[in-house]
Amino acid sequence: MFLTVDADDKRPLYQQIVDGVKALIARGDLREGATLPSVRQVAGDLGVNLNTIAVAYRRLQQEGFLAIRHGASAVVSSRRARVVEEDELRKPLRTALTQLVLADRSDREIIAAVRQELEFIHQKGDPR
Amino acid sequence: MSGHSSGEWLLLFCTALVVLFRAFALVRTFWNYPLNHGPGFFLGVEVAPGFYAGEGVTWLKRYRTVLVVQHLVEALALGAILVSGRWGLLPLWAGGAVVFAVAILHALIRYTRATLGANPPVQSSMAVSLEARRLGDYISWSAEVLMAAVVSLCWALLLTHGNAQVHWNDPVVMTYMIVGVLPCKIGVIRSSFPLPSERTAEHYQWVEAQRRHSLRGMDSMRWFFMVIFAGYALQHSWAVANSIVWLHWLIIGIALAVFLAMMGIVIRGSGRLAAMGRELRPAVSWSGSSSSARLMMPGFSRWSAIWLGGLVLLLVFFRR
Repeated sequence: MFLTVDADDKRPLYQQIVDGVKALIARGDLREGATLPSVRQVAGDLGVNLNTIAVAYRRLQQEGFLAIRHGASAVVSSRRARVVEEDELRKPLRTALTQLVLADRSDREIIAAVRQELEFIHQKGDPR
Repeated sequence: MSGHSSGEWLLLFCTALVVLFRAFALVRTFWNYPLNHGPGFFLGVEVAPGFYAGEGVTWLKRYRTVLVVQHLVEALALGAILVSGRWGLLPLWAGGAVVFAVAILHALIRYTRATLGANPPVQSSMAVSLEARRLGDYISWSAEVLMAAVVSLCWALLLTHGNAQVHWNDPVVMTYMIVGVLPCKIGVIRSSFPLPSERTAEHYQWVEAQRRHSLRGMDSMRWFFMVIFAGYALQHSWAVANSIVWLHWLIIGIALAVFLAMMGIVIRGSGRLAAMGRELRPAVSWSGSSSSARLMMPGFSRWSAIWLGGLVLLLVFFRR
């Protein structure tokens, strides 16, 4: 199982890692109880600062996806994010939809794009 | 020649095996090493199509000339040691030859990298495996305990029953050869390359195969030296052992078998790695947005340099 990061992506590296791990959990590729490599291993393999990976892991821990014990590995603790307000959950969706509307996409195109993304999320093991 | 001790004959035997192995490696592995990743690369550096029909011929000729000169220098040094009868210098030659060969290969790769591949393509997208690498998945702790037990037993035999012919530098160097490699193994397990985002799974499999191949090679070398150490300890602590001719040959036979197994592992593994990597982009040919092109796994290169440096220091120290 692999996590891809892209220097041309506008999101910071730690955010790409957070989003990548979340996507793998959502698709079922990373199941509850699965062990993630240590911060040191991921940082060393990617050739990035330890802190970048530590921030990503901490963020995932705060959101309830990872359980991290000091000196032990990080373990996927849940397939669900901690309970958050419906409005908070919808905020990023609203932002993305606004951008699509501003890019002059029709409602039909937007709905097709949303459906496509949902299909991708549910498609286990898709190497896209 | 008859004035040489049994220990020196054992050294000569080990040296003969090293020479055999080096000759085989030269023909099978290093002669065509620049072409390991196919005609699109030279020593891991990406080259234009048709390179080997043009300037590549000169590059290849230059590479092979350096290789021949390097082996000639080693052969001359070995010849001088044998003719002068100072066989005690053979371990220094073997260690020095390995360091010399590694240094020359590194210099060749670095030179090629600085001239032919000065501007490697930068890949913005990189991948990383989410498989946790645990030491226990790669290191057999029971084998490590067995090795430690045999080494301790050898030391106990030499310290309690060792005869006057024990040169303490020999057990120290052999222990270093066996135990000192463990940090190198850990370095190999803990480090890796960033993976290209295309054909990621194949690159990952290749890196994993390379890691396991390096570990197997190191372990077989350690077992070889352990047999030599056990034989040395027996001969220098048990007076009867020197009169038992078959025991002498049994130890040499076991050492030879372990050495041949090591050769088999290295040769078969190298062939399989070359076949797996032929279609893949070598790690040294590209750099990531946050990491430069890597010659080899950083943990492996760092610990190997420390280990080799330590070995040379020990050998030089004991020759004074």
